Amino acid sequence: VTDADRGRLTRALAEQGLAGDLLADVEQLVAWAPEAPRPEETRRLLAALTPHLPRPRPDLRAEFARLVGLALTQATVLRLGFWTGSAAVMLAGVGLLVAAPDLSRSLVLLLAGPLLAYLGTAAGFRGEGLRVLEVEFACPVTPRQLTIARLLVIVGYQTAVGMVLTALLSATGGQPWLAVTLLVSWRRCWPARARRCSARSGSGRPGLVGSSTPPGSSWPSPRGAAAWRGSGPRPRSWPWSPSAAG
Amino acid sequence: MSAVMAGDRTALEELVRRHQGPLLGFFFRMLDGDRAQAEDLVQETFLRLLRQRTYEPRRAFKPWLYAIAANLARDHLRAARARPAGPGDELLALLPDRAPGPDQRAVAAAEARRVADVLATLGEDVRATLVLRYANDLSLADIANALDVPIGTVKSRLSAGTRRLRELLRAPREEAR
Repeated sequence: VTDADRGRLTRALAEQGLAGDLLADVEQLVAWAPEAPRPEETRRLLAALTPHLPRPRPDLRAEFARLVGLALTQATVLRLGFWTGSAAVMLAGVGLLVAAPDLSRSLVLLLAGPLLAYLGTAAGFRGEGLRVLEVEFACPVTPRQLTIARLLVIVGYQTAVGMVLTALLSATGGQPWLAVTLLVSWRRCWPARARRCSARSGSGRPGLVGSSTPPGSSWPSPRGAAAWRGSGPRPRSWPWSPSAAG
Repeated sequence: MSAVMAGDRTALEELVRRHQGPLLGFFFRMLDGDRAQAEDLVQETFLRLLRQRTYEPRRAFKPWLYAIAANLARDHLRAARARPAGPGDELLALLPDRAPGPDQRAVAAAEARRVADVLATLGEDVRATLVLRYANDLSLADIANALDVPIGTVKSRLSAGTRRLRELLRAPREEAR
């Protein structure tokens, strides 16, 4: 029993209003102690406990924040032309419908949807002049992360613009169809383009050299030009159908 | 403890390093000086600590730890009482103290045996209260939390238990048995 123990025990007895002559008795209680754990006992105990350590749960909030951060980083890759171009195409479609209510909505959608998909692909996966390319080399991301992040930016932005315009249309007596149709159009046009894009790049950075031409460029110019020249296969269906887009 | 519950192995090592010895002492004194059994219960205490998902960071850790330990000790003592004495138990009791060596060690061992005998006569609750207060240095409030009794009960057990401890330790040897 050390002096520190003795002092502690004295205080404990005093706290209870017990006489100091009990100190010797409680000292005996404290002195009756086992041998301290040996290092090998501690190691054995830790070995037995470690498998029962709770496994850290994935922090979904942090994962989401990371994904959003990645998307924001990717947003800096897109040039101003993408943002304004997408908005302009949709604005033009809405303008057409507002100006000419009798115009076929299907025709407007058939023009606007694939054009938006084309512009998104061209802007999101082109290779020349990527300002954050060095950053991506220094902090590599997986092809899947890169694709998801860019798709998130492009689809998110175009959907948001579509929703705004749809709301405007609804306010002026139109019907809320544009955003839904855009999403459908994206769903049909994107996956095959993204797959092809990643496959061509092999690194998830499709636009480094070879894909300065948009990888999903089946519509409209190359195929149209090929058909015009008669040197390529004619599109068997609408160019933005899944078979044509891949 | 929060880090341990998040799966941090280093935090577990620190937790074990800090509490293994005191827990071993607690079980040793509660279980009549059976060190091997005390070791097992120390491990069981830590295992329960890891398996339970009831830890709240705002709650004081020590009372929670010793609540688990006190319950384990209580369960063990009850199970031991319920178990019929085996044929070898009486023979074991007749064996001389295993601590060999010079006379001084023999005297120390005899004194230790006496403390163990005295503690055994005190009853589980009083014994746990005395051990937690004097040997493990828990505050009255922490003991009340760990044993789930009012603080007044802790005080009365301490007063009565300490006086009884003195009576038994100073009594002739036969009385303590």
